[in-house]
Amino acid sequence: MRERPIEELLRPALDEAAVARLHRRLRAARERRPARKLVTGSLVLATMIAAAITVALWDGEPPRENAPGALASRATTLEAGTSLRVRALALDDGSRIELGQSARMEVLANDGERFVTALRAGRGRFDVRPGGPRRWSIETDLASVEVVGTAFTVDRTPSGLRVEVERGVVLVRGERVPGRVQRLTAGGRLEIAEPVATRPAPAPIEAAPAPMPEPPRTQARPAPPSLAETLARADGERSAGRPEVAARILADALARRPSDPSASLVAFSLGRLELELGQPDNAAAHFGAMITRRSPR
Amino acid sequence: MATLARPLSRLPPRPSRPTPLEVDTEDAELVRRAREGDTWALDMLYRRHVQLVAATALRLLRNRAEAEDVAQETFLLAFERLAQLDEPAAFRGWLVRIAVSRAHRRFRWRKLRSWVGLGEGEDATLALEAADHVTAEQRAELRLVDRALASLPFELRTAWVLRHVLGHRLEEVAAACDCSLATIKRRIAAAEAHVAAHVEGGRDA
Repeated sequence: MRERPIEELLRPALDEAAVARLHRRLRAARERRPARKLVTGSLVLATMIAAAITVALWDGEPPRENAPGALASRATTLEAGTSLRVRALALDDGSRIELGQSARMEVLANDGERFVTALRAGRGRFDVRPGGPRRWSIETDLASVEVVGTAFTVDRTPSGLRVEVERGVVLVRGERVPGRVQRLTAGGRLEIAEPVATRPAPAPIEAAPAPMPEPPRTQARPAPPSLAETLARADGERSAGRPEVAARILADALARRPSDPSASLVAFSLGRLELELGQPDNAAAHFGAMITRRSPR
Repeated sequence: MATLARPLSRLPPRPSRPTPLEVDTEDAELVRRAREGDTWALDMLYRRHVQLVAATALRLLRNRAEAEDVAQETFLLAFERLAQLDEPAAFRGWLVRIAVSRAHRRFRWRKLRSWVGLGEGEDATLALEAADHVTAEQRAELRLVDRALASLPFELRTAWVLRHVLGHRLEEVAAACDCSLATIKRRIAAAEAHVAAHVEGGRDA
């Protein structure tokens, strides 16, 4: 019997969006393909020689120093805690960040393994060089966006958050993200609306190993905590490897506020946790409870 | 092929279907119409074969952006040179041969760029491209294969990938690589030995 090819274990090389995009590119290329290939070839060769000479003679200022293995830029330092004030930033690994006029962004962590920024407001476009060793993460108060190598835009407006992917794949995580996590591919887009109901000011973004430059928030938190805060706390416990604690927190909260608008989301999260804990019967009960309330926001 | 034989052998037998590069009479008709200036026929040829061309480029180069460029170049060249195709029914095989040649060219260019510090990364290795239904064991084995392929010369990698990843017959691999059957058998055997050694070594480690 002939072996089955490995291709059958792999995802299709192109999704439908890529097939359509490639078709458009092909048509455009066929329309503008000039007969003067020789002229074009000569121009390309001349440009390459000029570029090679420029690179060979380049004696520019070296990139600013950062931690070992960290990303660097000629324009600014990228140490953890730095607020980015430039509009366009070319990084030494070939990646680029472009910030809108009103954008406010800080570097939370920058080392050989990760590059974490917080987009407080405004629009940021990120062109991450594929195949790099670092995990990129853009934190906002509504969701986190994680990428490996791709180009995408994150826009934090007063009305919500919009993530658009031009190339590659990004993961968007957050309690307001449908299903808590969404995988966006090229051409994909996700919008998360700012909650309409009054709620406490968003908590400062965690995951910052370095001290944040902002002064600590002093607002008094309403007691008892809202379900949204409870969800965040449970998520923290789960991320820290304590799913049973997370489940207990959610179950308590659900018992305290069964008619809260976020109760269905809590039930859904609890169901997923129970599945992780190997309790399918409990999970089914929570999913059932979620359905009788309404689908998670 | 010893590598991956165990996990793959657990899968049910493949139903009989035409191998990827077999001649196709519908292609012959589409090529004939395309030569007469029918752009719809060109679009049909693109739609029928774009996945094969893209998969060939992607599995060889393991870089998505480069693979899309190669796929575009392949169709562009093929459509421009349609008149030179002797056997319209063999359009698929001809297309794959162009794709392999363009990928090889791109690979050489990538090596040149890496020498001057502008190297492209690989963002579409077999393990990264594994489908959702793939087991953890198969995924681990794909990672080992990825590592083995990374250290293979392009000619050997091409032969192995066309044979074992894309599932072409030996004659088809030889045609796609533009070399004799004996040469392609030697290349595949050498690549198989290399991959098997890496995978076995990785399992033992």
